[in-house]
Amino acid sequence: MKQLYIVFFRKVFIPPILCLFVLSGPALLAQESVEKEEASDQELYDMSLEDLLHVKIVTASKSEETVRDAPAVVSIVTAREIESYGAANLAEVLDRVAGLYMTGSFLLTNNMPTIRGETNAIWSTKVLVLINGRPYRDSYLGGNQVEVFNAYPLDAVERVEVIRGPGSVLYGTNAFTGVINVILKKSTKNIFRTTTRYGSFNTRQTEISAGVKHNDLVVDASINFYNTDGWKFTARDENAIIRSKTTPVYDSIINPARTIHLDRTGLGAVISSSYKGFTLNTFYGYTRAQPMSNAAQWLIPVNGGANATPVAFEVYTSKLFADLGYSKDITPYYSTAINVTFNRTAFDISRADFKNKPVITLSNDALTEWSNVLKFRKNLNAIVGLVMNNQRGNALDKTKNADGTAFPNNREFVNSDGYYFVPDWNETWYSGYAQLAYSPFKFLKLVAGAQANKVTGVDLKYSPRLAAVLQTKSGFGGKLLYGSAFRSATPGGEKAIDVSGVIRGNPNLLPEVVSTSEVQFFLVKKKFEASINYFYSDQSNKIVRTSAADPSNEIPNTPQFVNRGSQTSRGIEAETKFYISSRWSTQASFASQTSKNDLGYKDYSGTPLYMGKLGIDYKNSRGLQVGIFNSFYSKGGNIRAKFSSENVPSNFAGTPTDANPKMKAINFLTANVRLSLPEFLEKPDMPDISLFCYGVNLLDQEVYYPEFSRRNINTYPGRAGFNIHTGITVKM
Amino acid sequence: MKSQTEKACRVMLTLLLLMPWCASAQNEKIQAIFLYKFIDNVNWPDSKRNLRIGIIGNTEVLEEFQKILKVRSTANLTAQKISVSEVATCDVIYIPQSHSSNFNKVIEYAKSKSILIVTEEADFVKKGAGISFLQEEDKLGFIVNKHALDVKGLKVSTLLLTLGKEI
Repeated sequence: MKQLYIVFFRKVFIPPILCLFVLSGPALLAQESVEKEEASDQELYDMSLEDLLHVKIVTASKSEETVRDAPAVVSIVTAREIESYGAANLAEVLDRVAGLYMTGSFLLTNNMPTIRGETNAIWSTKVLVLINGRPYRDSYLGGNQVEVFNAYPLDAVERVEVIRGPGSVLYGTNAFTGVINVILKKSTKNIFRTTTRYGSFNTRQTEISAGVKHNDLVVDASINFYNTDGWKFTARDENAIIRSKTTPVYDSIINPARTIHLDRTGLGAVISSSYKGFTLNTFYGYTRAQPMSNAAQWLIPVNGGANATPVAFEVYTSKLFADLGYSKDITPYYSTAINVTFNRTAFDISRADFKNKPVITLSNDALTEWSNVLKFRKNLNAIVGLVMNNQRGNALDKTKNADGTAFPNNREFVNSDGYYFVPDWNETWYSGYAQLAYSPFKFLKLVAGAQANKVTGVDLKYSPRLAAVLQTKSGFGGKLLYGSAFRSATPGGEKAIDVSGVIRGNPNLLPEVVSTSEVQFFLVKKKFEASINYFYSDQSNKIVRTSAADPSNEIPNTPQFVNRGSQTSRGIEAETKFYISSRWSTQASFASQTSKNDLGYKDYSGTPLYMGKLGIDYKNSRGLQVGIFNSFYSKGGNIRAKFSSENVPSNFAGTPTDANPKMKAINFLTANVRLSLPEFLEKPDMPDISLFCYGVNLLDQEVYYPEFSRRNINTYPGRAGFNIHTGITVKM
Repeated sequence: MKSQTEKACRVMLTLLLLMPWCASAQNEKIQAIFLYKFIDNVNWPDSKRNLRIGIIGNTEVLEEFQKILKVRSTANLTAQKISVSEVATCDVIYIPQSHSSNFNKVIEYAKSKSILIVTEEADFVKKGAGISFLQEEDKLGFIVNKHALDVKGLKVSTLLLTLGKEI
């Protein structure tokens, strides 16, 4: 216990507090004496009514109702918090959410928001992203979220709601361990905002947003350009290690670490509009990045030596998301809505020494949903909906001929043909859901719901939910939750893929399923909210890749997707926010989880076993704002299980060699200092301009992520060291 | 797991204890100043000068309002916490959100009397309050129910009607 306290105080509390003192020095100096404080009261008293209308105030945000009422465990990040603590993208915002570990892979940066320690692939298939409540999906491998986490314009975001736990009853497949709902701003008047920043690694970013309101028509548009030369990524790959065939096994390093710069370009554009009952939300995102490769192996030039620079490898992703909706209150007791959501997702990879791309994928998915809200009585309402989800696409390898044989001249010629390693897929899934909420007393809400889903080739399946939400007038309450969620195998990359000798799809895959029981206690006051919850999850039918030597492979020595294994996990999550005054606010969270699979491996995901996060935000009377946030992540779980030898850690008797430094506990500390010029210069009539300086990883920690996907190396570098950015925001 | 649970609970408890204890009341301060300005911009029948302001329940608005009265040396205004049954003895009633459940009773007690009812809850302006606060993004505004004020014989200034939203 004592040790935990020491760790927590030293590693979670001390860095941000020290930092706050250092960074807020000018703020504290500018914060004059008590007399000044009283003088500022006097100034307020002297203000005219008109001036008072322009004074900024603080409340406990819109999260209150959601935190109280929702039959789920919910965390909220508001636009104000995003601005206060600073962020260049949604990944940095999510990294501060209770119980969420933002990771990626050797291929995709910031693609994996990990909730409750669940990881098993480089694709983010267990956490569903919603934009204004509409699903952001793809049917190739079901988890390409690179664009939304790296390129989404933060200026467009009103708040982010993160549900930890199953959400399939209302949201369908992929809402497995969590749901991230990005809620967009809706202008109440005409506005214009722009932010430009420049910083370490020659990073440049510009965001422009505009909102127009004319009678019932509201249109908000934002665009975000991002470009960086990238931080230095130095790692050994899978080919740097050889293993003995002896017992015990010994690993030896034979190749040095190599270095690249993770340069990245991103573009994100959002248009959201509404007119009476109609809504149209669109997002276009594009990213280009240089990763290690798609197999945790450096591409070494022909005849390249041990110290050769790797061949440049690039990954391109693009996304077009569009949702057209219409809702109408038919009577005071009945409202209905219909939405058509389109997701077009492209994912390509290329290598600089080839004229042909080895992977070109495209999925076009259209989801139509009809949802109805019925208010039978004041204390009894129901949500009923039907969903039809059509998914199409294909995946092409241009480095091969159409028959799958190797194209011999990739370095010299463009291949006009190519091999469809996932032929055209076209599946339509159907589902229906119903949820009933009944409040027999003012302090009690009971919720029961279920989703029935029919996936091509699989029998009808059901996901239930039960919840009891108790809340008193004093703000104290509790929730008892039980829910089941599912993830259906994707029609493209998991059911139909066929790469000879590498991977084979399986059209008979069943959905993987998780059942979770949760209990939460919360306290919500006007300026203070706190919650603590315990969860227990039971996963079954996991969709996994077999090893080449697996005897169940339909084609010997060719791995394939199968349903195999189960896992239980449990843990604690707690968070609190305190809006101390208009000048001070603070938030803190703690999360811990442990898991065990059917083979007896504990904490096999490799993610941190516990994390603690603390943010402190301060603003003085002269427009200076300082937001400090520290995320402490403990060292990871059992990432060596497979790495050690033959996937049977209990048999391993040798001394394994780590390819890269071990994953260790880190403090990821950020600080954002913002100065509002009108307030600083005391010229309220001047344009609303603010200057900011955003420091990331202030303690220059070496951050290594667990390599939980292939498990042939232990870790790889996950984040940049210390970096700093400055910029300007103009609002009109 | 038991020990983990115990650790987590203790850490959470520590976090809560570490939170600063005294919360200043910027929002309540602004509301109190608004309230003061509202009174300035309303005329009571017979140009009544000495006004009694009743605040329902516990709210820092009262303390903040009393601070204003002290600074302004306004002898003709007195403010104090009242119970609902004392509504009729006041000229101005302020109902904070935490005591919104008393709204209907307040309306009942204030019936046919020249009492300015101000509420923190925005919706109450449609139900008979004279003025209600309205929070829009990070700013505080207000809505005026001119009809409700007219019925009570309260004359409201053009400035208040111009700056506030009117229903």
